[in-house]
Amino acid sequence: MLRVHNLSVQFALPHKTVYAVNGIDLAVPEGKVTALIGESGCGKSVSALAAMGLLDGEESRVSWDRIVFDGKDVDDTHRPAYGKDISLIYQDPYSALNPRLKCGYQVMEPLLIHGICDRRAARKRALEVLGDVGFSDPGRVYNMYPSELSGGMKQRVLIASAIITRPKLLIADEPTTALDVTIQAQILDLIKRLQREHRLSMLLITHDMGIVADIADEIVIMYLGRVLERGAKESIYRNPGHPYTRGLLRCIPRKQNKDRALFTIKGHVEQLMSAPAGCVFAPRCELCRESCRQTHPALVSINEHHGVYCPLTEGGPHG
Amino acid sequence: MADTLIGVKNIKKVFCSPKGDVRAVDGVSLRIRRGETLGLVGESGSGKSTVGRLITRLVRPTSGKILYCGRDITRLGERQFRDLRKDMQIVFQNPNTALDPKRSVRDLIAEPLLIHRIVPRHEIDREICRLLTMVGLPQAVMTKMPREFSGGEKQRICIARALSVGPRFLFLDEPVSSLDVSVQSKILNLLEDLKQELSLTYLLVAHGLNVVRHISDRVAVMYLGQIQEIGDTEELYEDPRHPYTQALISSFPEPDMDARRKRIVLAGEIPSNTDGIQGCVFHTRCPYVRDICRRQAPEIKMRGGRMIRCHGTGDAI
Repeated sequence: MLRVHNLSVQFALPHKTVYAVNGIDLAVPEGKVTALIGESGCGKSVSALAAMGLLDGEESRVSWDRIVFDGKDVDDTHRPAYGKDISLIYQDPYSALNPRLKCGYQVMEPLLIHGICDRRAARKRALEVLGDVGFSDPGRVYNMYPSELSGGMKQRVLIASAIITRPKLLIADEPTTALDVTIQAQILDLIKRLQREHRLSMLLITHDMGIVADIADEIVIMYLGRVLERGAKESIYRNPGHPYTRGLLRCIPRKQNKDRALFTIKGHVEQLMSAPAGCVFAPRCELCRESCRQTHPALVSINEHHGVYCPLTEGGPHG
Repeated sequence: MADTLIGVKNIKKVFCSPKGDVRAVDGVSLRIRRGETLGLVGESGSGKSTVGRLITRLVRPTSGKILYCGRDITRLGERQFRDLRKDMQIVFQNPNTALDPKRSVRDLIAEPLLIHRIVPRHEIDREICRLLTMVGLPQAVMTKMPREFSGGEKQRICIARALSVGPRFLFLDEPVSSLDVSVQSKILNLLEDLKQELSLTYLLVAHGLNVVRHISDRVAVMYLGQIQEIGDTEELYEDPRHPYTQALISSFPEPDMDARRKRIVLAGEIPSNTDGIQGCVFHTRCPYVRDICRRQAPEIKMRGGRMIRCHGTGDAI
């Protein structure tokens, strides 16, 4: 559905230039969920926004070799319609809805803006979609203001407005981070059901390895604006190749490491003020060699569906 | 009991709001043993943070008793409490707002040392160095300002500040929830090490269930201002008995391909605690609800080594 080649983003701030994304490739296969994982500041949200052309501030510099959406090249003359072909679910349902407009209108707004149908048909469709996202009484929610809804209900309204145009690609940016665990479970179930029923292609941006284990098909691990590892979920969870991925999985508290000190990754994330020469993870890597600091590692295939940007993966000391 | 550091007896806290009274904490009793970590879990509005704030006297209870080493601290005046303030310290959720941005690390840590006259003035710098080393920061950071640090480092500074007065008890209010996982693991390790080294007692409030499991000895589960279940961490996680605990634990997304459990998805939302709920507070969402649950509120009772608040059906318990 979506393929992005060699995407870079820089932010030119008054006193410095931040290299947020440094030449990444992304692919979201049709009808699948691709998860973009990484810690704060790794460029996961920025990558998604830039690929969609939603990043056009004066200070941002976006470049790419090629973006293909739904079989067509994306360029200045041809862009997918945001809100119609591509929809976005934001992290924070509290600020994503307009407090002065009724929920019903906000749900059907994309249909009206893109001139897909008239108001009457839009209203009918909005009620349908509100039912689809789990409201037992869509007519009532239609006439409510966002302030009358809880966080979980707001997120349902947002999801309704995101899927009303039957988009080809849905980008979900940390869709449940602001919600409580039991409400998160409801929303994840909803997203999973809708994704399957409508065969939605989805790009899920998150830092939560638990949510990824639950709903993703493919995984892309990012660090400091670079992709370090990509592949099928099963393969990455069972056989993580990159030292960073292994570290991330090992430092999560779980039953098996209850009585032991947690694994830690030495050092901390630094902002990049220049284009990186070698592997971006090298300064924190336990296995780092001289060559890692000089050239960006090539992709090493672990299997058909799983590749790692680390030369030490194949037959490396860690097996 | 001799090994009890803090005893909480039937405390209630009612906040008055224009929309009606909010019963944030509604009759909580628990005890925290010397040297243990008690985890308090629950969703937003369950009252878990308020319990910690009541114990550390950031808010005063509407009724009930809080005993610290057997002494009822709810009756103490501000002056009498000042000495106890040194014993009980707090680490807040957001280190970005917990530190005054205009003061250097030296000033920030010196403040509690001066207020409580912990060391003579000429020894303050040496004491600050000792505290920084203890939390894993180099001494050179003394002259820096909070904005020069990452979130994890700021949390270390907050911990150093809390430890400066030599507390016996720390209330950890979501200490790692604003941090990335790779930073989170470092802070959790630090808290574990400090607890051993300084014989500390912790009350940990967190919504990350795996974090709570990792460092707690016992866990209390709260819902709408009441404790629903309390027991040893491993027993409670492996065999949750209260229907709410079962749903809560099954809802947490496990980062493990093999640990996929059947998820219990609760219907509906958490009711507001301004409306007085008749019967069990959980009955509106409980999958095992019976008539009695709607009529009569269950008492919290000891059942098989665990305190549980549930009328209990064959299915649930």
